[in-house]
Amino acid sequence: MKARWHRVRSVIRHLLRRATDEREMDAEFRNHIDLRAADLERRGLSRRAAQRAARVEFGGLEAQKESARDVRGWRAWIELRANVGFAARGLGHHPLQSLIVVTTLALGIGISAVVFSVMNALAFRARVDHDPASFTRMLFSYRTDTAGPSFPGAAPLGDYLALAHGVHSLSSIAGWQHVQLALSDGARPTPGALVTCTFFDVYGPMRPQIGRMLQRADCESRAPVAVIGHELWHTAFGGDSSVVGRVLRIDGQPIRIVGVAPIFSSASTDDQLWLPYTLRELLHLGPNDPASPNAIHLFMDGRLAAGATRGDVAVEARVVAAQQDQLTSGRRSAVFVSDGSLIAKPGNGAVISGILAVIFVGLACLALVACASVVSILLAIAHGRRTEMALRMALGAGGSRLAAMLGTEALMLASVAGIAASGLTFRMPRILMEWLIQRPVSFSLAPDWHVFAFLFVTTVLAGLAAANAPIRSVLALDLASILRSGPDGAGAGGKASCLLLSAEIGGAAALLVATIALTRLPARIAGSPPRFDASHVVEMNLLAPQPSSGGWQSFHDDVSRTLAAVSGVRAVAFASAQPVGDEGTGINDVATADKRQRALPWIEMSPGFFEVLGIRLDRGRAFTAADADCVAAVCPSIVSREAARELWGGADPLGQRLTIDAAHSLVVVGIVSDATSKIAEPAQALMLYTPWRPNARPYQPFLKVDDAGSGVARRAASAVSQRFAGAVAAPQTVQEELTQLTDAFQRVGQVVGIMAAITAILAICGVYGVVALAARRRLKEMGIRLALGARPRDVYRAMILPNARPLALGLGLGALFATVAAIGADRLLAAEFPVRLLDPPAFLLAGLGLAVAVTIAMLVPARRATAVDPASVLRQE
Amino acid sequence: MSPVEILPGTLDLLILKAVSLGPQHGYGVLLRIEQISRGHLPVQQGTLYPALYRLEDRGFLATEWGTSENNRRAKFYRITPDGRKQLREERSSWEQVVAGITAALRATPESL
Repeated sequence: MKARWHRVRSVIRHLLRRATDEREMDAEFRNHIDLRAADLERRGLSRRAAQRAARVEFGGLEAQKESARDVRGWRAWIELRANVGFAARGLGHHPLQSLIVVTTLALGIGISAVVFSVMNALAFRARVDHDPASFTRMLFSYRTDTAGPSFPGAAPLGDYLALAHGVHSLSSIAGWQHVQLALSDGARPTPGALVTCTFFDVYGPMRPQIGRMLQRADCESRAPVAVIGHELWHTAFGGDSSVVGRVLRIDGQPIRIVGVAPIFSSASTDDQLWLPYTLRELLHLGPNDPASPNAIHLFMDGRLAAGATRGDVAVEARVVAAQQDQLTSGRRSAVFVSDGSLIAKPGNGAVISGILAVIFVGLACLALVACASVVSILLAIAHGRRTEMALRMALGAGGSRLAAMLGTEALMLASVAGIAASGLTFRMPRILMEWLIQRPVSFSLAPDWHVFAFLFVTTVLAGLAAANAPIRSVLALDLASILRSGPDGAGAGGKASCLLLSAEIGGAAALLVATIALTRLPARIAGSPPRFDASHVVEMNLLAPQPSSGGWQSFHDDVSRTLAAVSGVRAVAFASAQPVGDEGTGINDVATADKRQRALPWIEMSPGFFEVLGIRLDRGRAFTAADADCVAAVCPSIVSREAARELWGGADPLGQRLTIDAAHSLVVVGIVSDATSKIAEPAQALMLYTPWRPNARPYQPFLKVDDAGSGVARRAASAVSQRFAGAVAAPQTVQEELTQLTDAFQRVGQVVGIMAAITAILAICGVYGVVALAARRRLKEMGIRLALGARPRDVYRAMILPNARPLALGLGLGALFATVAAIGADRLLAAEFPVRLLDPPAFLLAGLGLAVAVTIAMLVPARRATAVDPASVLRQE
Repeated sequence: MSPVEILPGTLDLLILKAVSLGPQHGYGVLLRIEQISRGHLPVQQGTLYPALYRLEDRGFLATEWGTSENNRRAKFYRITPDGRKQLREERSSWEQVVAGITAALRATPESL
């Protein structure tokens, strides 16, 4: 160990004082030779003979120095230094090409790293600012004898209280639930959360900007206090520093502000108000009693205790949940414990992996094109250096030495590009994210070690990929023929250039297809709307407190009467969701009579829902008031035309049975038209409708209106909030909701579009580089052809035709890439998105556009070839 | 007795021994080895400096610049404490090898 350290120190010292070391070694060896010569002279040799004999015995000064350098481990550093010097001189000779290479690689690596960074922050990290390693999320799924498992989510308050006492592997545990709160009459609801008073401990530690955070005593004493967010502080109070102590009217109740929270990362990124969960009753949002069936449900996050693991948490939480199951007849719990990242959320793994795979196909296209462009340019530079390389080989430089020189050059270029790319990675993810979601991002997008590892690996791979082709072209040099025929002699790389050209065109084509397809989406949706009257249907998006008397049935009756009285409203109906692109749509597993299982999107609806939406009843009957709250073993259902086709093919669907579980089934009483348009994925049209259960839970009101622009939505919201204390509504037409959905996709399309535009430019630069290189190689041939009577047209043909094959191959590759990506994306988004991404006109437009651009890039060097002077070419021969 | 080639791996031992007798420049080390081996072990000059540098890099020799007998600046090598320790270890292991080989060579059918 000590000896190794001495050796490292020697190498470092040599790096710092190389010139002195070399000088001293020279002096030492010369002194040795002189001393030996003096000895030999004393033994009778003449001075000259003694000197000569001493030199011969010593074995050559330079050879001895080389041996000494090898022994001391200096040679590698000396060669590295020489290679870096060679690379620096080379870059100085081709400043423009070097700039293009660095810019291309920096964009290729940088864009990939930025996208990776965003994906990493969104999918692989918990949204916390401090110590993500100890952050833990618990999700709960419940099933009963009559109902299947619920989607993993929040747990009732009673379970939270039991877990807070019974799970010792968490040092702190917090519960929270989103709420929309009306701060003043008529204003849009403000997003907030009812939280346990440990909330800021779990998401912190954090210091309030002003005042204090919530304290345990606030929850215990049910103190009417709130902490407000940074954004609300500025929008509602103009950043007033005396805001602490002021009283807010939330749902009509006076609530005192005790502090302003800083911007921080949490699962509730939109929230601007945090109140003790024990204020629920005061705010008419439901009872505080944990034993009530309507008790608040809380999402639960915590921090691991020292030495504990998430496995320990899962074991303890399952024990506590099982104990809680004993208190509720027939309930069975399942507990999911994760690190809080999106990909670890139950059910998300496959979808997110799929989305990531599609994104990485795009990034692979970009990287492919960037590398291919860079290789083209480096090949062109290597071509210009063929004579120099041949001379070096003739002077004894081995293939590995030349490979190291060219490799160092490519790695240097890649390193500069990598440094520039890391600069992009620090700033761009936030800018990109805020533009995509159109609001400030509260969670951290700072690059972590995953991102730096990605950057490092990408940079090294890019450097190696860029170095490979020029090195191979130099190693394949025919020394004799180059030295004989000069720099324009035959060269290597024709097949490589063809492959590069195909790869560049393929990558650019795939990205262009994606851009055009995503850019056309909004127009396609507008041009082929849902098969119901989405612009005259208003979804109320109503949030109302639990009715204190009469239950949900009378609430629905009351809402219906209130809304029907609003001028401009023609009809009112209720449902759990609307049938196109709605997250509220449930999924139910059903089995047909021949035991085929199928997961179907499923909406519970009141009578009149089809009339309000304008969905046509094809056959059978619609639901009546008598179908509501069905408790029979067989309940009525209605299926969409596509669902009927999928489940029973040509057979008559009416009267068919769908089994839910051993005790419950559905009978089909009607068939309705598909809600989605013809360009949607067929899976989107699958729908199962069942009667609503107005006593059991609240449903969303849907209004059929004469004219959505007449302010009817605003009047309806006002009527509801006046009639029901604490109720807030954010009405929108279904068409507006669909437009918002497509807007998000349009922004994604614009991002991909910018990437594709950059890629296309890089590809065209690379294509130009390859074709220009080929043109330069064939200048002499073209000159001879012209001298022998060829016309310019023949020269154009000879220059362009060889590139037609890679062009066709590249376009084919691009189409294949894009088709695979679009089909993959359509399958992943089939349940959420109403339009297919596979868009044949996008393929046509992208192919044509790229073919034209590449042809122009080929014409310019070809034109130069026609201008060759045949006489001068023949003179050179 | 005519000179013999130095056994592989023993040059470092000889250099450490030569330098342990007093600081020497490179040529002096060469002469000292010839002197103490009574001329039986002539050192190939091409192998001397790589071995000296190797021992210096491993911390067994230290160097300083002085003046040689021809009045020129010369680099003198002297043994370090680590070098002395290494010399002891190498000497002990060499003596074991020699004892083993000697015993083996002296064996007779009667001694078996």
